[in-house]
Amino acid sequence: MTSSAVPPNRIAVIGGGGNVGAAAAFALIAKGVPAEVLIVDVVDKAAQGQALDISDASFLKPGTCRKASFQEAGQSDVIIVTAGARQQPGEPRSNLIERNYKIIKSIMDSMQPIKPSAKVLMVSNPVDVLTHIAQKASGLPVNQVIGSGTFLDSGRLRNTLSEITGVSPSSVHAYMLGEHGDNQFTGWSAARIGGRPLLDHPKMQGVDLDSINEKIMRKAYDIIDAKGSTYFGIGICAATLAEALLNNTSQVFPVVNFVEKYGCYMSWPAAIGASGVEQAFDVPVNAAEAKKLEVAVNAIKEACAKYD
Amino acid sequence: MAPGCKVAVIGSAGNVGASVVFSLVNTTYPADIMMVDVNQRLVRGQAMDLADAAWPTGHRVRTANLKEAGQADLIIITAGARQQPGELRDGLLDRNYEILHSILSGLKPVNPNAVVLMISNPVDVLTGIAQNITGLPKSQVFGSGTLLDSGRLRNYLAKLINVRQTSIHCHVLGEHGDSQFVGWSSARIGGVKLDQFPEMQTIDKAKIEHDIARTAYDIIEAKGATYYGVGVCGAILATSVLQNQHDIRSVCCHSTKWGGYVSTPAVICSRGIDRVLELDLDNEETEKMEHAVERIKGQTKRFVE
Repeated sequence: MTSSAVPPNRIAVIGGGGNVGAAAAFALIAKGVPAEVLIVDVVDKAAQGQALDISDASFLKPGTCRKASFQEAGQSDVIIVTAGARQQPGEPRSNLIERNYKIIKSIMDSMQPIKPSAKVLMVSNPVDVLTHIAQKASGLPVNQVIGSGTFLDSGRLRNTLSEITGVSPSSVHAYMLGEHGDNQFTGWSAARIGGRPLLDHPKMQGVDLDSINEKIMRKAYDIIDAKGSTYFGIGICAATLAEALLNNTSQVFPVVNFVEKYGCYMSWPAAIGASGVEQAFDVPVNAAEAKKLEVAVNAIKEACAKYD
Repeated sequence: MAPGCKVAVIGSAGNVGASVVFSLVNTTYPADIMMVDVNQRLVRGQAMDLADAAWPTGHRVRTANLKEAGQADLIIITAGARQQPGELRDGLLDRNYEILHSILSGLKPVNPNAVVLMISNPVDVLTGIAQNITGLPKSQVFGSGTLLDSGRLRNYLAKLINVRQTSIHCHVLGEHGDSQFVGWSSARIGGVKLDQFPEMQTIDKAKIEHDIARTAYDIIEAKGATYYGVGVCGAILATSVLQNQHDIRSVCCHSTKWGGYVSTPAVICSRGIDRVLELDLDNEETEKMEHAVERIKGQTKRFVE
């Protein structure tokens, strides 16, 4: 007995028993990605439940979904990691990172030997540092390990700018950059609509840019406040990136990748394809943005230093 | 700037409704999606999270009230109490009738061209009640019925026979619940009767039927609720309606032949049900169908004329 449509492509979701992982796995199936989606989780019951439910959703789609082991995940083409410890109230960031370091090391060890061409997509937070840790722990080449970074925040930014300008979000080319966290910033000076600077748009005149920034930074908290956690938005982001990695689309996304110029993993535009990062793009920044960039880079480097 | 087609999902603060919307935003032809729920705070949170998911495909996601929802092209209802672990679907009926009645009152005056898609359980009974209360033409009110069960059956057969699900024509019929059954005698793959496939010779059909009817309980046992499978079914049917696709799906619809609402294959279009197919059923299946229709009618009569 073999499964009906046996796609050659495999995407594993480590942490697929949880809401974010399951949302990513579901989005892959719902989007019609022709891959075998593997749900991997230390909580077997949750993994089984999600795999069954998502498999139910696959009957008119080309993909399939099942529960799988860490070994099978290690042989996949794309490995999405959503597993991780959540920050406890009052917990210092360094503590959170240390707990997650242990979890990621354990995940990578359980998957060995990892397929040499596998790409790892880190989603768990704090994503910039954890992407760095994942690369070290996996032994994979630097360009094959990326993180979701500010991709979701950039989507939120585009939604906001779409409401202001009246243009579809996908046609507003603007990025949130740097660190996915308190030090992230908007690349206002590089932002474009229809080839023209965003800030020249009539509807952007007099708009309080700082308040847009704040609103987007707060979005996750607003959602958590209203519904307890966030997973749909990040789920689709993870699925979109996984599809690009799997199908070699070379779309450009603001994701966590290793940027030579600054010597660290950070959210910066990159073309994503079968090699992982296919090409890197250096965003032109003005003086004010350069300052914010420096703060973000230093924060990331400081957090990563212990894990080199 | 909003897309033309308007879809309202009522009860979308909950997992099923939110999953219907999540499934929709993964489709490529964008719609204007209104999310409605009595729990304003939760539905606002869901809408924010889903708007974060909708920007790549261009769907518009926002919260709305019942009055606005009543003007949509397609009104999907997922609101209602959910099945507790081990609870039979019948236990839900009384609780969900009250909720449905309240929703339908709030929608009025309903867009006379609106199609209503019922997903809340027990779906067959609630679909009939919804049609009765709204007064919309019977063809404009249908329910997800046994679509998901038929999907589960096709998943199983696809693995068994190594053929893609879409090429397997086999339907789960009757009442979406413990008495649902498989229309084995009319089942075909590529025009060939299912029973002629060698893989089917050693299969325990009764066990397959039983396992499929139980899948929901298995998922609820493992993760607490089922919503992704149902969510996609909502989106599949929504797409059939909004894009006037004339697909054939096993849904809960009003059958003239059987004299009531029951799950059976029908052609889905922008006006709802275009026609209900009359499957060839053997004697045993005919009896089961009659039994299902009687059960549904009996429960529906408690609430409507």
